[in-house]
Amino acid sequence: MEMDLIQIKSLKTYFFQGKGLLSKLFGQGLKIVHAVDGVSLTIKKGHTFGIVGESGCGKSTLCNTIFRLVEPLEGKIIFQGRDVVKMDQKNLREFRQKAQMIFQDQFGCLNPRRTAGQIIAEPLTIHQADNRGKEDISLKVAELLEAVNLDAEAAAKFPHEFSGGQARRIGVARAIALNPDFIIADEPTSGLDISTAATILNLMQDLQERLDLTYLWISHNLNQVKYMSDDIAIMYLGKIVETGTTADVFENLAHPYSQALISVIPQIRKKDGKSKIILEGEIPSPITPPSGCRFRTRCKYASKKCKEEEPALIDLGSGHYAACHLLGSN
Amino acid sequence: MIRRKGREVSNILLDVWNLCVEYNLAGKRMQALDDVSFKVKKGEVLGVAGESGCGKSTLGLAIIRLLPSVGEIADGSIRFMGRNLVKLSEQQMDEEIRGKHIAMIFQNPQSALNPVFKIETQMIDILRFQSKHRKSKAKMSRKELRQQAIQQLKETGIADPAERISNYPFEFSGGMKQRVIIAMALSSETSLLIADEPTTALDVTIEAQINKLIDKLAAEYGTSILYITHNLGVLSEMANRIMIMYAGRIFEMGRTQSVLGDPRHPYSAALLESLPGHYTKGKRLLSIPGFVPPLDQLPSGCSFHPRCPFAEEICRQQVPTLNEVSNGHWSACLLDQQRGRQKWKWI
Amino acid sequence: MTTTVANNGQAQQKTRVSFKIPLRVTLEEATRAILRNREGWIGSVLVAMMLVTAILGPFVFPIDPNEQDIANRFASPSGSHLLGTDYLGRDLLARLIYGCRIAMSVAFGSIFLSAIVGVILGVTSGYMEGSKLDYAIILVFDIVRSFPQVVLALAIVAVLGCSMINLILALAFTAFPFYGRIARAQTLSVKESDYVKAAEVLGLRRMKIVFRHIIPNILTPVIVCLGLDLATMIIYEAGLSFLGLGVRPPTASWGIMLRNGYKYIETSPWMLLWPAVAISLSMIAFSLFSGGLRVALDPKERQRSV
Repeated sequence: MEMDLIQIKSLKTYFFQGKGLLSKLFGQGLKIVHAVDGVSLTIKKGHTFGIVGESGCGKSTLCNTIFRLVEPLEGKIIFQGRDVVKMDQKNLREFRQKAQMIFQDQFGCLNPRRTAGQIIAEPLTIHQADNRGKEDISLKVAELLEAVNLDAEAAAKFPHEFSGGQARRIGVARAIALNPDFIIADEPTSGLDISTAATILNLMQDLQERLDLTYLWISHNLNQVKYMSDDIAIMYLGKIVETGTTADVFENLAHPYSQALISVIPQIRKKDGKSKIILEGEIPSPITPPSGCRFRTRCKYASKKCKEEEPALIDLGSGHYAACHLLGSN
Repeated sequence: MIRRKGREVSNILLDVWNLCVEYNLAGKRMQALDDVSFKVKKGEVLGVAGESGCGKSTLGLAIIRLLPSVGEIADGSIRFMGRNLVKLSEQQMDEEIRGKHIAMIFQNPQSALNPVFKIETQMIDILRFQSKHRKSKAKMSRKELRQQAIQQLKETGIADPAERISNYPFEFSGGMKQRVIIAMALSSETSLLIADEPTTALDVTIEAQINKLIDKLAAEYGTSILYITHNLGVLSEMANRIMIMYAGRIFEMGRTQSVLGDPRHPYSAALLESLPGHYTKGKRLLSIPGFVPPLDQLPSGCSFHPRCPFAEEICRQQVPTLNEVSNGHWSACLLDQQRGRQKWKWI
Repeated sequence: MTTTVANNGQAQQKTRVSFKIPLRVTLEEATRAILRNREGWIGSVLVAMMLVTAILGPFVFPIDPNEQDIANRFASPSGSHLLGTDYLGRDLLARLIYGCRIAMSVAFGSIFLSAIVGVILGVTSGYMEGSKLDYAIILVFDIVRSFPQVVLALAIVAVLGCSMINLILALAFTAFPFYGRIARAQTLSVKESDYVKAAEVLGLRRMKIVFRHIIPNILTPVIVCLGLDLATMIIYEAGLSFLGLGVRPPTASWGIMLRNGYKYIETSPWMLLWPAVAISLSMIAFSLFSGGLRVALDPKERQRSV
């Protein structure tokens, strides 16, 4: 029986703009960015859960909320039985040893004035669980560098001396330093070349096997998400529109947005002769999301019901869900 | 499939021969492009693929003569419409070639638009410059230019162009900005469009829209496209022919299906095996050992040989040239040229 | 470095890494970087000359700046008095050298004091953006800044009395809001960086984040400002002393020398010329030096120029 590592229930994170006096006087007043608007998902231990979505879908905010870098408005994040949202500072610190993050900007997440070795050693010095001395930390850093296939000499170099792929690996080494159970990988191969990206994907897989890691894999590269993920969720404007195992979802794309999104993945060897579904219009703003179904403004099947009523996630069997009124009848 | 088929692709529009570009950085001479030769036919889409540092962006900039001050065209010729672009003066390039017959669009739409001017100001500015150097047409009034700009915006699919033209760039999304750029770049006179990663910074669904737009307009105006990107998937759908570059040289060139379906060069084969494609987790991807050499420390002979498991002594000694190994298919691998069709299996 | 560790009867080689770049190497690189570019080179040499003069000069130079020699007053430069004498027959070169010490002390003292206070307040305010503390600190900055610097310094010295310490305190007080503002602005952008987020995700406590991640990354504009302000402070010291509200006579300060020289401008141009040259030279020196310093302090730029 596979264990659930994380359960997210109806998570909502909103950002409030225009609270100040000037905005009230001259601007349009309070604006609410519905960044994450009722997201629920379950991540099984040892699995990779992929999240796919475009700008404004809320995937970055979701990551930040899981770590309580921003506070959610409502909802639960149950990690190993405890609700992260309600954790106090002490428990939060413990949580942050078990859950780590790999950031999208591989250079931005490294302090430019510290050496790679200092950066990787930081989690070890913060959580001096075994009261490690300098010797031990130094040894551990060497181990970590080796685990990500970097030379020992890298420890004395500054971030700007590394290539994109190497900087990414420093971030990975830092993330695994405390043997976490869960890692959120936010666009881990963005900005990397094809062969460098392949190296990172192989590395992440190896580490997952060796260290029994669970991943939340966020990417807009659909090929990559399909490759890496066991389960997948497709997000649009703060909501999950479709979710299920990767195999199920890609086999039977139910939601019109998923269908369009998958159809436009540039493929070198097309398996099927399906034509592209090219969506019209722009992605709406999360400040004023469309009423009812948020995708209706770009959906060719949109009907009156789509405008009035927000679709709930419909069970299509074996854990495959999609939020579309058109599926209700089947 | 977006690729155009069955079009008149007869005459040669662009003929690049032995192009060599060097950069002078901090006293070091770096060979950014070495002996690059290829042709672009009228109406075709030629894809330029490769990883960072291979010189594909440099190639685009060299053709339109917009290399940074530290770069220079050291050798070679770029024949376009009967003239050698390398030999033209800056003024000639400005008035006769750039923005008129050859246009270029870049990756980052925000950096291409001036944030403090309205869209209409920027578009009219360019249209006015272009009309000034058109000997045939009379000088157009501001109103006429504005109408022309609105028409251009309409053709690139921007809704309510008459209203939106008075917006500032920050009021447009990334995709819309790129449409504005395309509107400014492409006209019926554009013979060659150089597109340097035009959709890399955009979301996937918007990327599809923009590529569709580029293709549609180019087909309408009969424009050839030099599409520069690292995304082989996009090229497989948009390009008639494709060339793969590495460390300033062309390694392989030919029809898209040939190169991507039957790669003759080990590097091309390696790139294809590094992509997740239809695989799932568990199938290890190819990770090419080693790293791309810095341009001032290129290896002897074939610059790929230190990383190539198939390399032999000749690869270390002789610099390969691009030769036609089968009909329309060119490869710069010595072993391939000598022994014929090889199946380069990396894993 | 490898250490052999016995593990289950098998000797294992474990590699130890050293990831701290020794201070020596950093200083070497920084020095090389400053000297690499022309303005840094000239600036460094001049600043070094001035510091040496300020520190050693009074010990080494034989003539007493306060020794009067009425018979020889208003003397032009000669063998015994290399720069001439003033209206009381005091050697101008000696007064210039002692004045250099005063100028350097006041400049460095006041600048470092204001920078430290300003940065601490600015970083606190920036990190706690939006809080009452932030608004309070900004208010303090704005109030102090709204006074013209020289006038404020004058007022403080007038209240506290003329002395070098008071002058340093007064000048520091007029300058700290500028450093505070710079530090605050930088902090606002740095605290949004991914590496600060990464540190929060790792569970680093707030104070440590400020010292380890924020402060090192906001210092560059502060230090550049510092370099330029050193020049400014020399002018202020001279100005206030000129007005009689700086260092107390008969102490030799460039400002006092200007004051005296100005009175006797028709009798002896030398009395005015030398302090003016000294002040100009010191301003040029610090401007050039601060330019070179900026390049030297940025690890990226440093690598590029070395």
